[in-house]
Amino acid sequence: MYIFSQKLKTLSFVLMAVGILSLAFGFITTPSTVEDVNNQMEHVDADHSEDSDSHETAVKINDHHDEAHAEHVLTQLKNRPWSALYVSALFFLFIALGTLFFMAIQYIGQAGWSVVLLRVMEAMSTYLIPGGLIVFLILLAGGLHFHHIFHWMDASLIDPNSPNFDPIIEGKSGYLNVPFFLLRAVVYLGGWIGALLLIKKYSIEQENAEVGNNIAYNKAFKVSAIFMVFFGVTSSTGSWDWVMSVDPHWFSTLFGWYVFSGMFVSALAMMVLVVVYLKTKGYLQTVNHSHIHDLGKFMFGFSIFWTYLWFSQFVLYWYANIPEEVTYYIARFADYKVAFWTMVVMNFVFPLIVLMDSGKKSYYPYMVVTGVVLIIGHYMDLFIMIMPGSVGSHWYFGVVEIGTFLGFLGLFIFCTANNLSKRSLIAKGHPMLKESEHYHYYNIEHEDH
Amino acid sequence: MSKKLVHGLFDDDDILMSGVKAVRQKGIDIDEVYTPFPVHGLDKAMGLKPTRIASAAFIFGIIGFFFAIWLTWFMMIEDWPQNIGGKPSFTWLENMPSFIPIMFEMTIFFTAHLMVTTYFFKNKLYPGSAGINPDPRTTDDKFLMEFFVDGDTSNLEAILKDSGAIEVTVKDIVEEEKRNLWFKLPPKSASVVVILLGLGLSSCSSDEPMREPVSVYMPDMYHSVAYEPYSEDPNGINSMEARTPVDGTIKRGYVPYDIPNTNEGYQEALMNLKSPIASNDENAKYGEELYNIYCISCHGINGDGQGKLVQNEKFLGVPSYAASRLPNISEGSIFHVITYGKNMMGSHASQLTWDERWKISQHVLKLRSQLK
Repeated sequence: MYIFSQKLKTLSFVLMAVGILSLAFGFITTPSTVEDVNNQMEHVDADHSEDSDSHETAVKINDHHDEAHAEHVLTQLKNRPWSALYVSALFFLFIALGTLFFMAIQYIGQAGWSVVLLRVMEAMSTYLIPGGLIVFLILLAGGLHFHHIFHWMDASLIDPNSPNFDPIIEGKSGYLNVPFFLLRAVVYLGGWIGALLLIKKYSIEQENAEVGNNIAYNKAFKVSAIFMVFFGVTSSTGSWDWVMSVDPHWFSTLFGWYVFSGMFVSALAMMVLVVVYLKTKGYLQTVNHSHIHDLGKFMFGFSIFWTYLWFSQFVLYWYANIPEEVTYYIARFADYKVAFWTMVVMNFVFPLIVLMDSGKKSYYPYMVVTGVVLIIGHYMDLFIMIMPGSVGSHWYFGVVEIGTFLGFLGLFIFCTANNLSKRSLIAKGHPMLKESEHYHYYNIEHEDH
Repeated sequence: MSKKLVHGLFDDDDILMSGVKAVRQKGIDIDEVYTPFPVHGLDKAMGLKPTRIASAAFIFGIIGFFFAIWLTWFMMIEDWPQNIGGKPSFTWLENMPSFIPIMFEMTIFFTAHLMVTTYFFKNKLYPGSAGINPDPRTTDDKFLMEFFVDGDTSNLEAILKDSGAIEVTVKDIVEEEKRNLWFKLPPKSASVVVILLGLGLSSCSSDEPMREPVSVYMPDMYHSVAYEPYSEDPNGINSMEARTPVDGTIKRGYVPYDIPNTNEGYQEALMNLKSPIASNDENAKYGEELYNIYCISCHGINGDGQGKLVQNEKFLGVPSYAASRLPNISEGSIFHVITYGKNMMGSHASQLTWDERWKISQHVLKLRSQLK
């Protein structure tokens, strides 16, 4: 039985408080009128003029000091705390969803090796409930025009008589309209959470069942299989709705897979961190290096898979250079170049080099460092997917971004640890528990260290 | 002192394992063990090094990666620059994204092909390589430990004998007898080998004949994580890994016999059961042979009930088959009695198949006709 230590509880509350305070700070410091924006930009100009190198930039900004531009900038600045909140909320929701996907895979594959990790997966994916609620509230706030992360929600864009009329968005309005958008969100979250609750319920039923009675396990298999079909569609459409529609003019056919691969890698990285944390605290005695090694193999493999999808899209856009498509990368290269390439290095080069050697995947230090790098890297990946469409060039890694990330991390820690402490840490009664306890990958020789 | 070749032959993998451990405990290195199937844990017991194919693969990959860089640079930038899709070939770096698929494929190609080649060479499995198995019995059911020893071998022989070797042979190694692979290659295969070696694999051969045991390959086979066939299995039916056959399963060649083992069943067999096999000399002769194995010790060679055990008074009351003694028997009732037994006689259904029992019945009737 895991005991949720007071220390960790305090830490999670502190992190959540940091998140709320930094979000409040973000909203307070956001300019509310065009005058504020103009003042701020003059301030920026003053800053720039001290630096002769950026004089040109300052001149450029001065040239654009007309009313329309200032209004546009105001919208983007107002979006900033909302976007920071949204990216973090979505990122941690994706971690929980990726974990649920991995857990369902274990049931469908009737996997034996992973049984000792099932309860960790269950606890981690339980974050879907609070995380899903928060994401839904943010989407709802968008629908009620509290923020403009989703540009297409503006009704004037599809009004043929309006000067803002946009025929491309009008053409997509059959799918991209607020009621259907929110309905879909309810369906996705409802389906995922439903599957999660059923799998957790059957897991407990199986624990209490007599030896040899595997009815609950078989039910979990069926739920997982149905969930997987549902997830196959909704993970794609969900990523269109929640991530791709931030750039409503642009579309990509492999986007769902791209988002999924990132989500899965982050989930595995987080799983490694949680498992290693529990092991260092003396829990999960039956988890051995071979289990960690397998998580490492998945992490390595899906990092490569993520890179494959990333590059598949990038090289075709780069080569074909079609304006409609390439605008996506133009925006990212113009304003996000450093973050963009850092993210590629963190998500591809780093795990490639560290995890390529088979032995490294079973050592905790390598796995923890890679896990942390991958989590930050994939947060940045999501950041770069959302931000160019919502705040444009006015992005920072500032108080709001880091604060909300920490806040959701706190919520995630609280939810996971709280859930772990409520049930036994090992899914007892699982028909393949024994196999998992004896799981051994042949070339791991070292003992616990 | 010349070098000697010592072979210890074992007929059981468990004995082999304990033998390997005993020999290693004495600080003697085993040069090779030949087994008909992978023996779990043998590599560890022998102290084999783990395979280094992964490091080799990494190096091959690096070679392929740089080869692709050179290839794309030479073809697309240096030798024949082209303007494809508005991207003129000025420098390699500017066109690099379009070369990444080639770099990727070349890395994989080099890794895969050179790894397979290395694997075959390291394990001496290249085309035309001579078989290096010293004793063909190890491909059937025997296990062989091989040693190359300088000097006295009596100590080693004693250890091998003690640990259960069924056969220990010692041979002097004459220079020609060294199993040097290169001499045995036919010319055609040799040229193939030389060409393959040209790919950069000249470091795999060794002057010493098999001094180094080959590395472990296919380690998965040595380290099965699955339950063993007849082991305990908490999830299996009756906690066994092996499953009982489906109800109503009939084993191959088995013919069910429906008449029950009761008095009514006996009467039924006596009156109505007829032999389904032909009454001929061949069947009668086979029946006689079986009779002389299974029945003779009680019933006697003539069927007179005076078998060896009866004469020695181990069993009493074995009747003669004669009509005067047993007036009322038929081939059906004889079959029935062999199948189920009667009085002191036990069932022979487990020793004799259905048709064998019918053949014995035929012979018993023949004996009966000869008895007064």
